[in-house]
Amino acid sequence: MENKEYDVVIVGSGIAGAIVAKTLTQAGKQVLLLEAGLEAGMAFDADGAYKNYQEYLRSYYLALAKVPNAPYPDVKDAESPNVLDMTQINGKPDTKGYFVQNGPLPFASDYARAAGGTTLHWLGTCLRMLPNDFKMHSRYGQAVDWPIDYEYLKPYYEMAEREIGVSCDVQEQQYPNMGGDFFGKDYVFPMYKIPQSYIDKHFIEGLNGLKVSLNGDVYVPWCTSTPQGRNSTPNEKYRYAGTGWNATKQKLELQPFPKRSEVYEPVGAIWDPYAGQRCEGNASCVPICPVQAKYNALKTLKSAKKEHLTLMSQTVATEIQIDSTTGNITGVAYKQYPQADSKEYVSGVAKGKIYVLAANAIENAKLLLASDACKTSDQVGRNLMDHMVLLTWGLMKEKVFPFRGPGSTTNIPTFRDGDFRKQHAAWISPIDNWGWGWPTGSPDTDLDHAVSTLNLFGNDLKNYLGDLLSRQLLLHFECEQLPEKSNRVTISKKYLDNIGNYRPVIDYNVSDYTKKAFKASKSVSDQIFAGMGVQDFTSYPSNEPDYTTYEGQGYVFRGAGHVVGTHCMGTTAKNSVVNRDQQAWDHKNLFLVGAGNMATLGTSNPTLTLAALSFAAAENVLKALK
Amino acid sequence: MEKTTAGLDNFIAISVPLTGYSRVALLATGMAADYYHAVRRIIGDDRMNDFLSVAADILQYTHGKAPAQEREIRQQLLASLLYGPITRNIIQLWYWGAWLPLPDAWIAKYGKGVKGNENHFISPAAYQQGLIWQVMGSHPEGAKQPGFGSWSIAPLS
Repeated sequence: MENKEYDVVIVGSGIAGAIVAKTLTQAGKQVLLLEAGLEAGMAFDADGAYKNYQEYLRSYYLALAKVPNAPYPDVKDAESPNVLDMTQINGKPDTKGYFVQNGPLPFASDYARAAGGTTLHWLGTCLRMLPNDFKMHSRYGQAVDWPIDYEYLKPYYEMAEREIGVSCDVQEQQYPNMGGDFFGKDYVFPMYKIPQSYIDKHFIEGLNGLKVSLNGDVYVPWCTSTPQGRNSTPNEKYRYAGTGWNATKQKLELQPFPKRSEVYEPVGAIWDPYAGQRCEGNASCVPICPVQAKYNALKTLKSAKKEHLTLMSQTVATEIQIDSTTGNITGVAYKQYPQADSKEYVSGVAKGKIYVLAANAIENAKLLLASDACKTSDQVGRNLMDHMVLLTWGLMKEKVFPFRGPGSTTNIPTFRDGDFRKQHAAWISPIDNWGWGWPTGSPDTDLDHAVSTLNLFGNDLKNYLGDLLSRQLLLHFECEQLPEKSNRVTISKKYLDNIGNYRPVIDYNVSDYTKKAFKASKSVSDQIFAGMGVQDFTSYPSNEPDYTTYEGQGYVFRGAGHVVGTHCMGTTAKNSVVNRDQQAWDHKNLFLVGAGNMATLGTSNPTLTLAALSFAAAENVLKALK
Repeated sequence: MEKTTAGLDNFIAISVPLTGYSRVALLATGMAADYYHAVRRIIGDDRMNDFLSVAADILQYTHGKAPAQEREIRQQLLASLLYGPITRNIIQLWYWGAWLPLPDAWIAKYGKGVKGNENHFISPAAYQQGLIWQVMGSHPEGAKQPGFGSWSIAPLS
């Protein structure tokens, strides 16, 4: 293994690494892919993949707290963060979980170090970023502009939507300041929209015509169906078979179906192409889709060209080796552990012409810091971002029957962009389909309350729960966080894992720019609830891990699982870690991929954007290999 | 064997007024015996037999008549320091499939010989058979999926 030089060595088999691996192998390049987690699911035999996935499901059923990482093995040799480890930080670092949290507030999101990465437990929302999200500095005097714009990313968004298999009705997509050609003439998504929920229908009807005041301006909020990476009915107008490398033009392109009669086929489970061809309404997308109707990166990995792909699992990259004269990367040192939780490992070095780090924003930053790489800008690890999610919840007047369907099928996009971004963060408001599960732990907490505190049993209990659980409404206000130097990942010899690798040390806080959005969005929520007759049950207890105050009012925010920043792209080697080609300024044969490259966050869930960026990066790698 | 069956019958019989579900509905979950054995395993044979005997008496002398039966269940089971926590746990077992730890005070006073009192789902099936899902017109999240688009209309039941 050590003697072979590959064209490209990729670290990480999540969506970014899988897209790069698939694109490069299909273009004929030899790729070595290192995955820190277990072999699980990467094995391309159907039986193995199925059995392994059934084990995940079993763990999910038995888990008391069905948090995002609940179904997946937590291996000590490649630990994953867990939201259950998050607590208030009182003066000294919280070292309980995998993260070392310096605070003042805990970073509230997790990710999965496993084959397929965090797409195993992502929700699947596939919104594109808005044009102004790339120009926050020039438009609103906040943060930075990206070195690329929406127009640059547009063709790659289409590739990402093909790869993930996005279900969406394009004509329903109305966002603020989206411009006249946001999707391009005649563009359609591979599949029609995922049906909107029964809750959505009631909510949309209730919201209809309501005027909302915000900072002295009047808005009429509207709802739109949410594009999602889960299987629905194919759109016969969709014409693309996949993304391929055009060696003559030196670019990637979406290639049409060879025959007119061909139509898009939903990509089913990795163990059976006929399983999961439609979303079956399991209502457990986070943390696990039992039938894999929801996209995960194992699907992309499975469609890579196998003859050109070498997989090494249980292999944790520990350092990238740098030639001190040229700055070029000469190898990736790794530790391969023979079995989970073992303290033993075998060391090795993987060699390629080009190296791609795709290990998640926090893991990428850790690896760069451990290697003394990308030092010029002093930006590695900085600008850690997440959507800070303010939740509001109440009871609808009528039964709307939550706890069914995908996590969210409709959103309010009204406040995703506007001049208010000069003053405070923008946000998107998904309407949640799963009752009060996230903030209060419903339904079992409601059961316990009814039995233990309300002293109900029998028919009274049944009627009480039937009414309460059927009327629960939950809104998210996912507020943008700007890149800030002090929100950062560092490493320290004091904090090592089971096999001597660094654990991420995180400093994190919320700025007034986002807190103002908490205040503003809570006011919008109040107006919506009042206008619709929703009985408000929202509360922000001061003992919650991410409790904060603004102008005397307390708020609790939650992490969105959107781990962004840490090696942002920018215009110069002094202000950023990678250039517009996603190539490290300091190391010409090193490409960084994933949400770590994003210069700002916007209001869309980052996976679609990072997938689009990964196609762009794959194209740049192919050009560099010429 | 006979004794076990009688105990199980009593367990199901008292579970009917406790949950508000019929005997057939409870049997249809397929979980009755598993729950019965789980409770017996955790609180021990003596406590279980005592509990079932009080429960059988309540059912017998109220003849299943609602106001009397409810009063007796409240007074003799729910209000009892000994039987209250057990009764509440049995209700929650049916609805959610998981055992809740009996309170510290209960353990201190009555808990000699109690085993496996930690919070846990009895089995993956227990999670899937929780009555709470049907009470809200849904299905256990991650199981018994109702099919494409089902969430866009009201539940059929």
